[in-house]
Amino acid sequence: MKTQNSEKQLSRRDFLKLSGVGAASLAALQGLGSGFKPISAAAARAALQDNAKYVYTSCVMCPAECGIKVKVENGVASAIYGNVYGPMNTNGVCGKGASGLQMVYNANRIKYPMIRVGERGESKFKRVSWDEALNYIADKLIALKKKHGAECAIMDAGDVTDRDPYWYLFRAFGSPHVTEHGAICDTPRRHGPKIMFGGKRVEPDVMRPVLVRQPDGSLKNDYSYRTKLIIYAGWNPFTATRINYESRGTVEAKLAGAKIIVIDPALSNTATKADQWIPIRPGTDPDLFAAILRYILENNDDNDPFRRYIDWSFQEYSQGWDEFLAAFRSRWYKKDPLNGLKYFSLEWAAERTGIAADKIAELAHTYGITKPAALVWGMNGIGHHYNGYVASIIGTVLNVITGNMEVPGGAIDTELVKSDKGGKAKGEDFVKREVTRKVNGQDVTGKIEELHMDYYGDWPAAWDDVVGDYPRRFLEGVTLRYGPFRGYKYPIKAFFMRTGNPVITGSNTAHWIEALTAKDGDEYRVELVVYIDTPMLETGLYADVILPEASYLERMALSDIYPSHQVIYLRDFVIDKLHESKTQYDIMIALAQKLHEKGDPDIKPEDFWEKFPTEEDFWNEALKVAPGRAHAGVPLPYPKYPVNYKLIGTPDSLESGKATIDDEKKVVQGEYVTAQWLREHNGVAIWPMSWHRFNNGGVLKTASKKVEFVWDYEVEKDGEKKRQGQYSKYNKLIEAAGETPFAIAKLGWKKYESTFYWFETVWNPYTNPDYAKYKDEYPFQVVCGRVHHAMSGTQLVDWLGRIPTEDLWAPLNDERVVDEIVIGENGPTPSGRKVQLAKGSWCIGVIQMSASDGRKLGLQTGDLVELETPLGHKTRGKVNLVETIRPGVLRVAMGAGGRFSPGLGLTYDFRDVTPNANDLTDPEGHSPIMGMPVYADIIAKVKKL
Amino acid sequence: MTGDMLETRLILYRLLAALYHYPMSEETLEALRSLDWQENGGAAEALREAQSALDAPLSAAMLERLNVEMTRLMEGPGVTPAIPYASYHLHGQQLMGPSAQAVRRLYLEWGVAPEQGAIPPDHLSLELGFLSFLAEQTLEDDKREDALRASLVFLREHLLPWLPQFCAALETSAREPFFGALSRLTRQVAAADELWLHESLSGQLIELS
Ligand code: SF4
Repeated sequence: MKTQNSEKQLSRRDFLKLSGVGAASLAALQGLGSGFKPISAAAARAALQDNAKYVYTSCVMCPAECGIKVKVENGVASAIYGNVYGPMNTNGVCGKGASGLQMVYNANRIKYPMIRVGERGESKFKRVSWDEALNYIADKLIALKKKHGAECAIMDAGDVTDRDPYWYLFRAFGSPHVTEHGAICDTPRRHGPKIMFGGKRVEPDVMRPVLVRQPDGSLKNDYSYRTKLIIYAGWNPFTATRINYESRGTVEAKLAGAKIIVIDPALSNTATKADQWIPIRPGTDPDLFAAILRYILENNDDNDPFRRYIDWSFQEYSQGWDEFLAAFRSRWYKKDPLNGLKYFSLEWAAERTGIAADKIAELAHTYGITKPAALVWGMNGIGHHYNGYVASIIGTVLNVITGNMEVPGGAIDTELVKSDKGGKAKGEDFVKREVTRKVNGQDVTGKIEELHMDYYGDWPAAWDDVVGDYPRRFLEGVTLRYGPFRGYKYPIKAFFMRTGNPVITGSNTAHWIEALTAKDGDEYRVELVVYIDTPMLETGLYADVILPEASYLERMALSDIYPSHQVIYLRDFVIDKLHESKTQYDIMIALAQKLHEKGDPDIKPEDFWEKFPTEEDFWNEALKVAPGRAHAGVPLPYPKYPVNYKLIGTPDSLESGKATIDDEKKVVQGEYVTAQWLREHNGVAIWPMSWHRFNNGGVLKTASKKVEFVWDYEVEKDGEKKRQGQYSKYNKLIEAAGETPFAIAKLGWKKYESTFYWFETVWNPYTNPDYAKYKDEYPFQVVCGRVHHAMSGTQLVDWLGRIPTEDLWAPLNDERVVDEIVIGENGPTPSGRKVQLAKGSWCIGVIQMSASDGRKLGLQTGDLVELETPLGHKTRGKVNLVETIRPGVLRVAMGAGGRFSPGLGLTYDFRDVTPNANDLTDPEGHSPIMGMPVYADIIAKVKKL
Repeated sequence: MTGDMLETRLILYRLLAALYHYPMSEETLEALRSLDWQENGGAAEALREAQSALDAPLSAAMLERLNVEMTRLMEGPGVTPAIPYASYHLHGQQLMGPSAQAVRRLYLEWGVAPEQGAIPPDHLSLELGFLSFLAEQTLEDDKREDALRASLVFLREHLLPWLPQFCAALETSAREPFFGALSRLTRQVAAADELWLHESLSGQLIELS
């Protein structure tokens, strides 16, 4: 090679004349390599071929977990559609679901394991290898277990149902504390169905199509909507798409002639599609329900077809009605001290709910006379109030006595009829193991589960892995008051948070921060905080270790959110795991291996990598129990099989008769459902629908196999007396200990009431005399609403930031300089320029206020105000003055404002002018039965800033 | 001298690829420090700044500081000020967009694939690494011309469209002077190389045998 006058040019160009590269460093540089490896020509050719494919999987952009179909081109997901074969969403995919790629391919995703190097909350981390991260965690866990017992660790697996690997690992490690976001979400809402049916969640029968056995023996999809009336109280499925079919089904049912009534202080998206919107005063749903019940009881006339509200056939499959009725009636002769009116009368309810008496009568009559109907209540109205339990119980009673449960077009407890899943993969057997602890100087042996901080601590009625008041435990530790370990105390020392963000969504934000940053000397009180997720949310800022979890297109799991009958979906690998993320299974196995290597005695190869060599093995184990429900109802799903036997196996094996019948165990056993079977069947297994599934016990999960109106009762069996009912087990614990849980002691109870009970909500000057004094100084009730975001987790998705929702997420931004983003052919594209973001061009979380209130306060839309509660808690935001909310009520969306994790884009940029609902939540406000934070029992005054 | 230059390019791209590959190692930094640039001007200055930002001898504390800062700047968790993916800058702030696809294709056409498959193929370290791979090819007579041409195309079509934006972000947000210098060094090397390649290939500088 020759040069042509290159010397001069090169030096003028100032380039590439290095010298003095030491031999050692040259060798080091050679050793670095290019980061590339050669591949064979054939492999390269194959990889270059355009190989588009479609994969059926399930969405996680919100907890509805719809069935979706994802297009993958050259290993990159390029489009998301609905899965036409899944009845949950039948081909539909919402705006969030469609924008899922902006989450998966988000540049702000957590990509690598991190270890904290600053103080908690300072957001100073160092990227580390998985090995370093897992060593750190395992060393700490083992040391903490030695010192405090495995019960000092909590695994909170957040708001996505595919958490079984984490639960399995932590239960194997020896902790009874595995939980999920539901623990601090809307437990009061689920209480009525729980104690009366053994269920959880009542929804209208509007999931279509449903697969139904025909008289000729064939199976056909039924698309008919039979519902005549749906009443949604504080439930807004059109925005809080927890259940996808419900929004579509409601519209379809309406088109088919159903009437829709929405009871909500604000004109929610659901209310906009309703025939009637009833703006109720917050916290008074039990009052309204009780007045409806009283009206129905007093005005029912079996002989008058226009007043035949009650369908007495409910007595065939229920027990305890007379006791319930007597308790309910006994209260209606008493007078409310606040207004002097008789409880549950129309006038009383009108005074409290702010709904006119004749309107309540009309509502009660309409509900009583229209059949089939469904009364459905949700998390905002009932799930978030101290007295939500009362409403949930009365609502359940109403659906039962009007004959609407389990009839076509009526109401369904979806918990009872969905497919079982998880089985042994949940690891429940591990917490049945015995352990010994020193209690008051004595060795006491009991089961691991009996160390649970709530069931045997302050909240014995906390069920379903529910943990109510975390931050207090973090600060004060646990004292067990019930069961064999009564008197035992231990601290909470390790907190694992996966796909959840309690600092923003789990009760008072400042209280959470206090709990996560409290120190004893130099050491944080909760010594180990681990955050596992795909997006980086506020809770992660307080973690010691951050682990990147594979996004929902990169992992496996099972989904089946609240269907009307057994349906199960596969979440499947769609694309390869990006960056250094790992799936739940990977993390479970990797951490188990570390713990085992370091000598943890409870983690055994035969329970982990030997038992589940692949991820698919784990999920196949979880599928072994599917569908697992009693074979019940009309039309009977499989006429050839005995009634009430448990069905196990794929739909086709049960259909073809390849199943064996075990009369002893009362099981019909077909071929297990597997991930591969699901893959071969469009990602979804669907078993036949039936109705009247409470008949002869059917799918009910109560001890009596009947609907129970009494929750602590005695039965005699074989000459022996036995206590039964959902509350009996808690009451037995309380009686044995001789100590009443503090929260129900506040209600004046000694133990859980055995049938109908009543108590007022907190922080409500209009219904609870204790708070009447605040009425004038704090004239607003603050409730939380939902925007289209999946609570606090999707604010980094650009498209969703642009869409206004329900006057809660509105283009009220002020002028700011931000990175310019233009919508190009590939979606939102930064131009590289800084621009002045014009006022009113971007959506931010706002405070929804009635225009009349605004006028009184001299406010205009866009004014910045501060809200302050009697406890001095404050938040700030811009008011949005609208006609879509009841005067005296303010609404703030959960997770929409005050967001301080920098990865949330403009949501973060506007944190100083957007409100965080949980800045206002009373940290001590825990609803009395299960400890749920009272997110919606808030009063405030408004100050213009 | 051209032979030197071919090697020099290889060294520079190897080094830059390594510097953007977390974690920074002592070996890489020592290699950086051992370089000596005879010229004066932007790149040489940036190199000297980078070198003087390092302790001599390199301390463990320094290495830790740099890696913590590199974490904050480019690794996470969550949002980082300097995002080292072409696709982010060119395609709607999303990763794995068309620019990532395009470089993946190119890698495959050259019969190579990134060693770490899960990292998006348009990560800066990989794009620089690919240039170092091409630089390696230029050392072989029969591949030289193709590799030089490919380098020029790669720089123009894949790296330079976003590199200035990335480097500006890195420079403005760096709290450790080292990263400001690294940003300048990267930009200068890429720009100068583009010019050199252009001129070489137009026949002004070298005669390809
Ligand atoms: S409703 Fe939820 S799960 Fe369904 S497509 Fe939308 S975001 Fe996904």
